Amino acid sequence: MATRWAAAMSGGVDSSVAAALLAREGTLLAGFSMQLVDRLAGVEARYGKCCSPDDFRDARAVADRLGFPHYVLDMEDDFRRLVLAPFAADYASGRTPSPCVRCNTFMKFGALAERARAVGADGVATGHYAVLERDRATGRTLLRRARDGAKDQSYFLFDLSQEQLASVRFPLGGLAKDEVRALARELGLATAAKPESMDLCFVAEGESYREVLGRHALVPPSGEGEVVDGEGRVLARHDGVDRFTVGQRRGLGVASPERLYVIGIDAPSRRVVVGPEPALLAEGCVVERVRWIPFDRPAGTVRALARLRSTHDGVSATVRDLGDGTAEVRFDEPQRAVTPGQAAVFYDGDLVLGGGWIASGLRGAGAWR
Amino acid sequence: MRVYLDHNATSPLAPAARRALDEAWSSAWGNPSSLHAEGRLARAALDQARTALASFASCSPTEVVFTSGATESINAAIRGAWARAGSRRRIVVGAIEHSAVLETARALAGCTVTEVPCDTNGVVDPARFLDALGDDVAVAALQAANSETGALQPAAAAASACRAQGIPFLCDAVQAAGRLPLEAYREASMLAVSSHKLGGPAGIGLLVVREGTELSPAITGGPQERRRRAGTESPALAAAFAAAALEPPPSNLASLRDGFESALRAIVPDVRIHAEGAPRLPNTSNFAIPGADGELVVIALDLEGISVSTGSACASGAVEPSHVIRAMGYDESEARRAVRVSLGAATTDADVERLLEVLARVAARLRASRAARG
Repeated sequence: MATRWAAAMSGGVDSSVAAALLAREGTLLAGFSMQLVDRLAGVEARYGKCCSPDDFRDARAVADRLGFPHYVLDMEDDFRRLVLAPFAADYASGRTPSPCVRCNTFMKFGALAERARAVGADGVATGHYAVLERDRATGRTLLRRARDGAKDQSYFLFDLSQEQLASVRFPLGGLAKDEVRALARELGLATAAKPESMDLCFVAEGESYREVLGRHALVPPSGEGEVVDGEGRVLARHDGVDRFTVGQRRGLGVASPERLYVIGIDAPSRRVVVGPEPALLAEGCVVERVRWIPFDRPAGTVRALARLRSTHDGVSATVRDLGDGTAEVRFDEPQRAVTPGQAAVFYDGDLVLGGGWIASGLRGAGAWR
Repeated sequence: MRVYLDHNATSPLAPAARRALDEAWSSAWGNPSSLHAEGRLARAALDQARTALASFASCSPTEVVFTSGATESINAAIRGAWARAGSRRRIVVGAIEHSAVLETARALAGCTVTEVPCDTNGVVDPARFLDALGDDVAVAALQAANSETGALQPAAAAASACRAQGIPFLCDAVQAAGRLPLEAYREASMLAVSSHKLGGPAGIGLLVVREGTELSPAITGGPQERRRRAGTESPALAAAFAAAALEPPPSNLASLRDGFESALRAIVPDVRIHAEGAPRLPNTSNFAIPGADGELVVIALDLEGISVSTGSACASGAVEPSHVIRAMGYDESEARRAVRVSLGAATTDADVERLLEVLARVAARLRASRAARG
């Protein structure tokens, strides 16, 4: 069989244009959409924003137009195991989960890529905005920011292994957003006018992620607890630690003359710690499950721009890989709201050096929570 | 050239059916209920098709009701009998019926559905079916052959028993029609047949309603089909349906299928062939290759130009584990591995050889992959 690539298709503009670009240059394609949250939805079917029958219909229409087959894969079991369960576990342990990174690592470039290769595809192409490049000297695959900085999604891709990166294509990485829109119109894609997806894609309009977790027989993190100050004084009660994230100001249920923020969440005791703005500042953080991209492990410390969540511009920092899967990150300037559960991703210019999962913030010489 | 081996889903239009369609669209386009010449031509074409199909279904022409397809036939039979059943509030069906039967029965308010299980060969136990009957039964249904495994069911025995007890009985003969003589089911009070599974066009089917069977029409309106199914009939579709039904059934299917299965076993010694121990339709083979997910086998074959199937698909198009294989006592992973190959009139030795050659490659690749569950 001739070389064939799998196009991961959500039904949205980006993945449609990505597939169209490959089809136009003559790449043989097979389109795949992942059905993630449907089967357990019961009689009154509710669909995540990402995978309603309408989205599949749009993806199928694009594939039909471009002349390649399209398949919907039932991947609910994988999604539950690889994304939803860790998502629930993060909340239960007082972290603020980042399911999009896991979805990339374990679903699109994990379970889906494996299925695609199993049916004969060479690899997976997606509509992500990021650039891949072969490093001739080392043979490694490098990950860079997209040309269009506003659309760049490299943050969400930091956790891909070299093996995964070697069989991935991002046709949109070198394009600007309006070029993509123009291409969508030019190709007459059914999806050209679709709004961009936001928030948690697997949660339908008008429901909460708690309901989704409940449907998937995952225990929503919960239990009442106390809102306390830095000295442990009880200021209020709350109905579940998952309602809070570090840095949050609203919805604390506390009347106070000064502005208070969530500065820490202690899940075992169900305590939400609040404090004034200075208490939010961290001088560094410890990250776990560290991934490096241009090399296996750096020699010595690494100077990098560290982005501490997807909307963070980044802070200059020094990263020390501790050799046990963790690394210590020291910021040049203190940072607000360093949030356990989020990813810290390290950059050198547009090159993604790697990243890790924030376990705790650092203040002074030691860790704090 | 693609190799099409999914005839239990639908069959391509038989050449005779295409000729009949072309002919009837131009000559018999009138409304069969009209009294003028055009109407008479249409009526004649419709009557001719009805007579041919009556002989095909071993019934009299007045017992043939044209419908839009077998799902409508099944709805008309179950809902129509249910509406006349008075205090009888139970429906007896085989556990491996088509969803047209299962979902229709389950949808009736106040109805208790007794689903009679099948054995590991995918055959509903006739004794248990008969035991489930009783004077509280509104209607009973059993298919002639299963669409997924091809296993033949004791529908003739069930029909006799129901007849003796005065219970309306529906035989879903969709998969048997065109592959086996339907004469065996002549004691069934109702019989559903689809056109497109036997080489006719989609959009038409029939329900045999035996004389004396009480049925309320499911679709009301005009007096067509002796007031049993309202709506203008399509003489052209009926003519093509009849032309396809009159084609002699292919005689080489069983040997092609058996040859395929023994060659498959040589390539994949641990393959499991479902319902192998049951009498089956000659054209159907349902199997599971350990370590190879059925959905991925079907996709991989499709990408190489070969069309086969798994079980039923859900609304989104993704594959759901087969309720038939589950009912045979297998677990969900086995049900997810099921692949169905169904041969048709035009299937050749070369088609089967090509399938085997590609399947060997695909199975090896899938079994080496982490993606193949189970």
